[in-house]
Amino acid sequence: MYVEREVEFDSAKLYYVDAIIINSPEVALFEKVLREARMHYDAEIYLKPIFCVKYDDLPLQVIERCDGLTDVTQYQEIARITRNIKTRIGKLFLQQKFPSNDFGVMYKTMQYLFTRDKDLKPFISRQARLNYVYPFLNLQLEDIDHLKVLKVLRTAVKEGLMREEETLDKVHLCEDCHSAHHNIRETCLHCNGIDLKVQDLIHHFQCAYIGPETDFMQEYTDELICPKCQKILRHIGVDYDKPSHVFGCRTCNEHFQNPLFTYNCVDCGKISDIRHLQEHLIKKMSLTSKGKQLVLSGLPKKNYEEDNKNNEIPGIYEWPTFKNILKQEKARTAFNSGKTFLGKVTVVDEELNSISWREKLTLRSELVRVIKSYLKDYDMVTVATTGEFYYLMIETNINKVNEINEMIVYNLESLVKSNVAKSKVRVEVVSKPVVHNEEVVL
Amino acid sequence: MVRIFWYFIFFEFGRYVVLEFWVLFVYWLGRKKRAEDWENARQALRNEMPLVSLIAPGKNEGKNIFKLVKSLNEQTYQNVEVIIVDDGSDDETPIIGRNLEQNGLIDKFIRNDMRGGKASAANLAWRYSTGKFLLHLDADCSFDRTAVENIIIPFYLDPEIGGVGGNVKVRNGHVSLCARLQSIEYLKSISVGRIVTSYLGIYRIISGAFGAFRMDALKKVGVWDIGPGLDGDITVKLRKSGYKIHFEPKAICLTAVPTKFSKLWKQRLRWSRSLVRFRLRKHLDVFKPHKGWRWGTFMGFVENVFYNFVLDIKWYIYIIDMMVNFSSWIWFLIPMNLALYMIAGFMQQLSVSLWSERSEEERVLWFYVPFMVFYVAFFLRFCRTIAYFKELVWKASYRDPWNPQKSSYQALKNGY
Repeated sequence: MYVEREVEFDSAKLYYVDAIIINSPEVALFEKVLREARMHYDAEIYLKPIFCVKYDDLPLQVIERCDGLTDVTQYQEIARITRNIKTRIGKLFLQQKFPSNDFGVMYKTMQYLFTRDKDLKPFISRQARLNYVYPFLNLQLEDIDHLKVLKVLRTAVKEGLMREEETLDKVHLCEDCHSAHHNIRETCLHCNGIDLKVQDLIHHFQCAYIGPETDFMQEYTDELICPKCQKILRHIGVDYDKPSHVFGCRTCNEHFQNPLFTYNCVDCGKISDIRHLQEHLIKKMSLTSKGKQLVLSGLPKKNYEEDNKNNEIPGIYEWPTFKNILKQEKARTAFNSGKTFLGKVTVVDEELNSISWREKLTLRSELVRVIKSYLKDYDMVTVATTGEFYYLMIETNINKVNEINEMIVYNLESLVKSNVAKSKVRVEVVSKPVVHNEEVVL
Repeated sequence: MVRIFWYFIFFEFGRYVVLEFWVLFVYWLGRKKRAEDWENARQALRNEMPLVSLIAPGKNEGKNIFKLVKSLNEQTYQNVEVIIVDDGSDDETPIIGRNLEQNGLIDKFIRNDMRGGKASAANLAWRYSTGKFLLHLDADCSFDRTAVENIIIPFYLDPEIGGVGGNVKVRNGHVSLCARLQSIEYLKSISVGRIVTSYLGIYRIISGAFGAFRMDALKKVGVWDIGPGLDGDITVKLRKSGYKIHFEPKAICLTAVPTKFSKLWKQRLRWSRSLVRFRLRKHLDVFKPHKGWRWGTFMGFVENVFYNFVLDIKWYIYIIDMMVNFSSWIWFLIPMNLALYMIAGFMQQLSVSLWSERSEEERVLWFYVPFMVFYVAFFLRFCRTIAYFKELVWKASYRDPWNPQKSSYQALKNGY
């Protein structure tokens, strides 16, 4: 898939392409494509190779997160990379269910590392609240949940699936919001004022007077004169020395030598002692042989079946299963008088981008439950992305479909508005009958 | 009899037994009036409640600072600011000091990365003090709960008082014989001796371990000059500026003294050298009539120089006199002199017991009184003699490592 503008990108077509090539210096376009692809639930899509055409000043966040840069006329190299990735994807066990969301993220990251055959090396980014972004992994968790990135990696190391390589940096995170963006400053011990002036202390050897430089400075000359004995200080090391310094607070006029170092968190506004910052090491990670084995053979069934049992709702299917059923349904319509309708529910809301990954997951499952509640038990629903759902209504008629669509629109809008602050949600439902041997385009 | 024991009778017994007992008796008679005045002064202090700056300059005092702060936190008088100056320590003092400051246990911790000497450290603390009165403390001291209040009250007894000396006693007297002897010495020369000199108006040293000053008086005299002996020096400066100096026996401070004679020897060499440096050189003008000349200051100097410097020389003359003129009596004279000094010692110890608020705890010291004869007559006297000689001939105090060389050099060059 070759993408130059946003309108050219269609996530539904990702199944039919080997790789994506983005030819645009626009970071926003790259971000959109990357998000749509990497956040997809289907391994075929989230592991899809993404390349960028070389541009000057292409930011690090693009270079580090794509699978390679290419020239518009030289596609041999990216073809080779794509082949390698596809071969490796072919070896994977495409695990669909995980014991927990965190484990799912960890597993997908391991799949990504295996198919790229490289280490997970974070890159520095001012956009990231952690100041560092782990390619692929951060996108799965989103930056709002950035501390979880470190937690997932710690778990992976503990389980022996990943190993820590070199330490690249140390970050200090706000005690409240865990952001690494803060302004560190010297503050007054007494009033927390930041308007401080530092001065050298001068010690006059001869009479043992010692005080700040201003005690000795003359108003109209550059001479230093001792306020105690009125002698001129001519030579440092002979007449006087500067043994130390002192801070003066212009707010409360207090003097002290050791100011308090505080930080002001740029993200949450917290002001606190820098000793309360939480220190974390940023390390390069690599896949262990145990990790590789896991992505090749998948999880033992008992690991996740029990956990997911309670979440199962009849009629809600994974995307690949849904696609197979759709195919069968197309074939079945040739011999059946009743009509089957394929519907696409799209939830459009800018505010959805501002909520955390965990909240998105919860909202997504709520939305799918609402849709399913208007359908019969044997009707089917699937989730494409957070805001995109498909359903299959079997043995029904257009009036019934329209009636249900209206109710879905009304109830989904209400649900989103009550869950997402400042939401201006718009829900669109399109449905068409499924006809034998015809592609249904929604 | 008088011809043989003239030294003891005229100088030792007369001064340290007869005169002291007489003054103490008169002092005792005035106790009711003093108690009334004291109560009025205390009320005046409590009505005003001025801020008192407590400063503790020092080097490598890390191990003592916390104990000092704890002792200060227990004080009955609480309107204080505590300022600790670290004069270029190379131990853990900076860490401890900063920690205390950050936790609000002291008000200021100021460190000089380069050592400037005790005087400059004290001056730095003074520079950032904001109290009406300033208390100079040694970091290895601890204080009775009422010490701060009791040392400030005398300023309300007489507005002309510029400085008050505290009653310094020995805390670690039990550690060794050396420390025990110093316990007795401190009790005699400070706890009782300074009541007498203060009463007579010739009190001459506000101890650096525990001394209080009026802030404006300190400013007027130009705070501390380079030591050693800076506590005696500033007392003279205050006297010369017209301020009265007072000793307060109720303001009690406990200090740690050297526990080995070798260390004590070095300390006393330093102290003794300062007599020559400050009394006989820097403040020689006290002996000459001039504007601001005072009898009290003059007599204090005379007493100090006579009893320490002149009698030190006279003692050797006495020994020679005895050996030349009474050589056949020498085996009688030595034990007789020792016995007389011991008797005088016990009499002084009696006066200590009558005045001390810790006489029960100090009862054990009676056993050590006989040793004081040897300690005072030989150890301290030889130490003083050597110190005077070295200072007079070589100005040894300017080479004392107690001060950094850069300061001592300038002090020598400019006659400080």
